[in-house]
Amino acid sequence: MLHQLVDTQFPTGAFSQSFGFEYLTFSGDVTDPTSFQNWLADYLTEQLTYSEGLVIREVHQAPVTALSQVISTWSQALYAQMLPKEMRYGNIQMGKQFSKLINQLLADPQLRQYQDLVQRKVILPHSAIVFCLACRALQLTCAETLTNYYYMTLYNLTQNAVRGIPIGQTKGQQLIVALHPVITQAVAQTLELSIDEFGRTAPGLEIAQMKHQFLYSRSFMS
Amino acid sequence: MDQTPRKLTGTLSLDVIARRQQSIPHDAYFQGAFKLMRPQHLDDTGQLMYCLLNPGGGYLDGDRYQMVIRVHDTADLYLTAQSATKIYKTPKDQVRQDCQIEVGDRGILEFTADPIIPFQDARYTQDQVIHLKATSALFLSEVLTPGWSQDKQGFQYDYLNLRTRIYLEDKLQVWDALVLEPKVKSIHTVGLFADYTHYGSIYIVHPLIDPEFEAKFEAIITDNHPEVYAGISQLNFPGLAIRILGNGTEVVQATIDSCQKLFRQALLGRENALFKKY
Repeated sequence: MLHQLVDTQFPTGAFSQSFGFEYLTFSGDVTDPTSFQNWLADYLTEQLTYSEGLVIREVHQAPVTALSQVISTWSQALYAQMLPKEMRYGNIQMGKQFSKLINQLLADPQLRQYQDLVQRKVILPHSAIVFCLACRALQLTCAETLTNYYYMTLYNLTQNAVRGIPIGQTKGQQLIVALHPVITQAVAQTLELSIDEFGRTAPGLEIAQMKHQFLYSRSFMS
Repeated sequence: MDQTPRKLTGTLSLDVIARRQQSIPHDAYFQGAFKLMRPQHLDDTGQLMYCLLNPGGGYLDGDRYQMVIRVHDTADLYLTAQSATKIYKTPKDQVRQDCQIEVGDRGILEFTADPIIPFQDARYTQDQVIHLKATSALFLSEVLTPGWSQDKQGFQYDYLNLRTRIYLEDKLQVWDALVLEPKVKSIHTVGLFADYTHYGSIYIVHPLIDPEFEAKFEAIITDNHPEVYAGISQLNFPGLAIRILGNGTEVVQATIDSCQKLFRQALLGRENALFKKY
């Protein structure tokens, strides 16, 4: 089941999101494997860790009795820190599809409860929380959950770069290998972060994510 | 984060209310390193204008600042600051500033903070919490410079954390944290400051904001300020976030001024040009 979970078909719709790198390809800042790898490392260490990563940690560690409250608080915070509009739309779409699909694959009360919160519009869905609940159900540790989530996200983005920039398939695989120590370090850091560091993000990432909506011709939705 | 109670270096508490055709101070208290200049009405809109001073000249090791600004229902305040927020080296304890802002129903707040300049070896945390109503209007801007160091290279400070949270009708809608540790990680990467040195941030909130207004602000930045690298996006509610990178305080400030002018003209219906601060 885990292997299926980290398959790059998941989360559904990830293949149409660039999370801003498409704008940087257009502007000439991300045009080859090296510049893409630099962007990807910044995306992981300056944005993903402090948002989705921290939320995964908090949801993973929450006791079952407090889970829906924890999920509701962090879902609100997660979308509050996502200022670029296309990032919010893209993530809501992905989260919605992912939650629906995973509930058809895994019978788990927490995942069902999550789907219920989404359907009742109590929360906005996000794949990070869906993924975290699925990993909880499969009894993965928090560190394993984070490692798999970061890997899956970076892998998806790299596949999109292979098509979108484009970069060679082999180069794409090589840069993922090169990022393994960065992922390991990001996981260790996420486990130790203070809650006060939530929402930290970086202007270069955000500006590209904001400018993407004004591109004339786009292959990706963000 | 250090929450231990300690003596505040500077406090400011400002309540502005609407009385007949004008906004007036209901309560204005400042102590220590903060000082408010005499308030003024600069035009016939009734808007009250205050200029905030830090007569000490800069923030020192372990300083604690606290600001509470309340713009009550239908009141209208323009708060600006003079010179710059300079943070000197903090060998023992970081400098921290907490700012609480409330804007009531149909209240208007324009708050243009002056540039933050973190000097060599400085550590600074600024935490702003803003509570708005669905009918409130807000223009909030901030500028961050690379700071100053003996070798004049800039980015020689230790830690900077500028956090802003906006609640609309008590619901958390914006959580924004810019955290920089230039000695740990270079500022000049594609995701951080790219090849730029100065940063600006703007929040514009008004019930009338829609995609058309977003396009207007986008156009004014793109057309009139090609020297900055900026992004704009609609928020979860009728509001806009703008991020600016540029080389120099002037170009970032000029972009902010253009946006403020458009905010006043297009959203507040004030044709008067933005008045000069000094």
